[in-house]
Amino acid sequence: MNIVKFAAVATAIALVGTPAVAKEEKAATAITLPTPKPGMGQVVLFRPGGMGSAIKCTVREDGKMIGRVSGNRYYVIDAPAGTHTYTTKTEATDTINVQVEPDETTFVKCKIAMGIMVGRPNLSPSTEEEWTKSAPKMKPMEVEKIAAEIAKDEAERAASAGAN
Amino acid sequence: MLLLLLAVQVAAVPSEAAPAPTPPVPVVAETPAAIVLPALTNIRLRVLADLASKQNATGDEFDIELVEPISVAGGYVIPSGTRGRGWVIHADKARFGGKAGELLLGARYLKLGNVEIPLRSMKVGARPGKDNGGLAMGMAVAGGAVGGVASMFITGGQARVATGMEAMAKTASDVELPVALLGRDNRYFVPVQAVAAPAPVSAGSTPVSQPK
Repeated sequence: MNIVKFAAVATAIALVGTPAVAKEEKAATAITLPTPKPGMGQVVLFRPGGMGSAIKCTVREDGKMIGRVSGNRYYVIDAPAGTHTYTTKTEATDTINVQVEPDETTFVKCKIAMGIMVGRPNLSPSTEEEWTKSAPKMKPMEVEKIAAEIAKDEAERAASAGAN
Repeated sequence: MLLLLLAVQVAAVPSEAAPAPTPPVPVVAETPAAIVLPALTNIRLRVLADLASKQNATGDEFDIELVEPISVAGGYVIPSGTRGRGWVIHADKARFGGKAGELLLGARYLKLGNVEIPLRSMKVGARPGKDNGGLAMGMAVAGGAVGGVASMFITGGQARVATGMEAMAKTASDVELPVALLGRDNRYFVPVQAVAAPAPVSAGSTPVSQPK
C-alpha cells in the first residue's frame, strides 16, 4: 500500500515539475541575434518551416552565393549599407530588393511556393515581429558549413567563367 | 587772498580717488543662424499616395509629409506638414501558386525650404498580400494531377498602402537648418538671451582676476 502511495506522489511531483523544467529550457535556448559589425548592417535570412522543407533556399547577390537556409533555419549575412538585390532560383528565379541601414538588422524570409516540377523559393520582405514569432522554432545554419559551400560555389563559378 | 588762491587751486586739481565713469557696454543679441538637427532623430511620417504591389514598381517615388513637428532646439521646430519624398524599394505582384504581393517602402528626404533632410529606416505598416501558398499546396496534394494544375492558378493577395498610412523613420545624418526656415513652438520657445559684448581692454587696465 505504502509503495502505491509513494508511486502516486512521485508521479504527481514529476507531472507538476516537468512543465517548469521545459519552460526553463525553452527560455535558455532563446535566439540572440548578433549586433551588426561597426558601420555595417546585417540581413537575417530565415526559412519558416512548412512546405518544401527539404528544398534549400540559396541566396545570391550579383551571382555570388551569400547564404543558404533550409527549413526552420536562419543565417545572418553581413552587408554594407545601401540597396541590395538578392536572388534565389530553382525552376524559376525570385528577386528581392532590400535597403540595408548601418547598425540595423533587416529581415528577409524564404518560403517555398508551388512549382511545376519542384517548389519555387520565394524571397519576401519580413519584419522583426514576424521573425520573433518564427524564432522559437529556428536553428542557425552551420556557419563553417555555409562558408565551405560558398567557397565551393565560388570555385565552380570561377571554373565556369574560365571555361567560357 | 592767499587762502582764496589755494582754494581755487585745490578745486582745479582732479581728485585721484574719484572713479572714472564706466563707458557704456554695447549689447549684442546672439541669434543663431542655423541649428543642427542630429542624425537618428525619430520622426513620424504619413504616406500621401495609394500604393499597391500590382501597380507600383521598384524605384517609384511618392510624396510623404511630417505628421508631428520635430523639435530641434530652443523651441524651434520643423513644422508638421513639411513635405518630402519616399520610394518603392521593392515591389512584386501576387502570382500563381498562391504567392502574395510584396511592397517595401523607404523614405528619401524631407524638404525644408531648399534644405533636404535625408531619411532612413522607414517602417510602414504595409498590409501584406494574402499568402495562399498553403491553399495551393493543399489543393495539389489533395487533388492529384488535376489539383496540381489547378493550384497553379491560385494567386495571392496584393500588398497595399493607402493614402494617409503613417510610418516611422529616422534622420540619416546631421543637418544644419537655417533658423529662418524653422517654426516656433511657443510652449517651449526660449527667447534668445542678450549677451553683453566684452568691454574694450585698455593698455593700462588691471586684469580683473588672475589665476593663482
